Amino acid sequence: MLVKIVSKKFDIPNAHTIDVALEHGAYSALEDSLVKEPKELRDIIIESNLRGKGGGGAAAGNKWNLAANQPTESGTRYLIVNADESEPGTFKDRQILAKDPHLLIEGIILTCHAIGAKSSYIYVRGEYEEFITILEGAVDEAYAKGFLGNSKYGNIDVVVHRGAGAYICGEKSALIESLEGNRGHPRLKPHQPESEFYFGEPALVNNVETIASVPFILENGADAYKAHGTEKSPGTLLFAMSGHINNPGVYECSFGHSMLDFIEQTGGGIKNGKKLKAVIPGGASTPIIPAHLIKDVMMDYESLRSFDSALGTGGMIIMDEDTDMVKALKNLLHFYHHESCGQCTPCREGTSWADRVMQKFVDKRATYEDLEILRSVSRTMNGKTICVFAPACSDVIDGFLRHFEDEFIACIQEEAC
Amino acid sequence: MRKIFELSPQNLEKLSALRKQYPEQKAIVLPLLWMVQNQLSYLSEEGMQFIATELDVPYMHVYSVASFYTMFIFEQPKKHLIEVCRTLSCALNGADDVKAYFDDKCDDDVEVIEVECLGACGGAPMCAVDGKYKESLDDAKLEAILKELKC
Repeated sequence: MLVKIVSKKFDIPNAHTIDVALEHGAYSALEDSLVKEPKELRDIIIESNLRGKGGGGAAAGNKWNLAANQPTESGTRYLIVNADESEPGTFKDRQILAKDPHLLIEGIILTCHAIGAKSSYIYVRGEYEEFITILEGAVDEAYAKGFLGNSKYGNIDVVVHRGAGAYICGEKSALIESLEGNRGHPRLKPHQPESEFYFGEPALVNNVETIASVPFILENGADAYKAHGTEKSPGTLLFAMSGHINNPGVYECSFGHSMLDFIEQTGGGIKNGKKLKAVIPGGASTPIIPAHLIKDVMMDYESLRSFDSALGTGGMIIMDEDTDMVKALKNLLHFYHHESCGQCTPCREGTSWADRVMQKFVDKRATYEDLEILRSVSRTMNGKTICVFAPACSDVIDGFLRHFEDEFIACIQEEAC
Repeated sequence: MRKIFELSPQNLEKLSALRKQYPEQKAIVLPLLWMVQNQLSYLSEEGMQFIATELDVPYMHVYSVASFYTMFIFEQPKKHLIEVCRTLSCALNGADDVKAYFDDKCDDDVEVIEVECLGACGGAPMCAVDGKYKESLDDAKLEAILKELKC
């Protein structure tokens, strides 16, 4: 079940330093891959069916082609690495930044070659100060050893850019706005798929783990990657477990395994010998799944979709039998209320309204009308905003109400008597 | 008389390096805000005015950007900052107790606040003390933090 592709060097002490990393095979994919044509590299990625690991799960190869084929007068293209990991329940990218930053840099050099970019920015959330220091150290080492900058590896420049505490900057267009020196407001989306743009030039935005998967695929071929996982969800993901679990942490696992087995075997089961009540499968924005369904859930994009949820980032939040679902939803809505960027009215007002209504439930002041208001706010938020923040919040509310409505009603009835 | 803000010589050097790393000067608003905040421990009006002048953007743009991001502050902070993560994984593992503990034990030199997910869910409950992550908090670790801060 557990494999080591991206996490290969996680257990090696000091693998974040270049000497140790080189001893264990860092940068070994460069020699053979950089002599290939960029298109050939993109074709390998398409063939491997690599899917973006930041939560959306879109095919990475298609995005690469969009960025590489977008006409540009100046010939400038950018690679932007999204390390703004802020989704509650998700703490996988920081493992790469802290334990194997050279794998990321190697992936950046290869990706830049494949899309014709010379500059790359790594946008890291501001709170990851300690990991930024490690990453910056690794970038400096890579320059000193001649992997970056003026070198035979394509003169790639890497800049580490520190965010300043805004969840929404994990949304790719908000991230670019922030990287341009603006407030992190998501941009309107085009009707046809197209590349992202940084100061008007084509840009590719990929998650840290996606880029860190690239060296293995280009070195070993698409088939080696597809040997793991399922047909539609090939390869591996850094799955994370937190909440009421005995062994919380990040574990690289191929797609397609039973979620319950993963929780029981790798996660060591529920804390204090209690029973499982529910799992939020892939970061706070994926709808909750109750325990009686978990035994049938497989850890891949398609299976999770069939349970009206999503694989997301693979960061599972596990809840035991004593968890109060009303308080859990209130906790998450407080998060959405706080993190809404405020650009679109349905989201700005809706997240705050939903949060206030949930406070009434927690205080046992809620009525049946409040339950209807909650549903109505959720409906109004869905599909009427620039980015998917509000629809995600709406899905979260719907998920809790779909599976645990009785607890909300019990709250109302408690007030009544 | 208005005080004029000046970057330290070390930061001035960093600034000229930064200018070469981005296609347009406007992009370095965030790195410069960090620089000013690290130097003063908060963002003063003069500091933001300095950024506006350096990058040739309106002062209001700099202030508007700075006020969007929760990590930028506009007043002299207390000596120490404890940020207790309050989001779900930490909440399920007793974040409330951690906050209550610090509220009870910390003196006036320490600002204790609740923040949203810090991306350390596997180490819940957790907090950041002056930016440094402290994970899997138990009684011994909480006491050690107080000792470190001399509360």
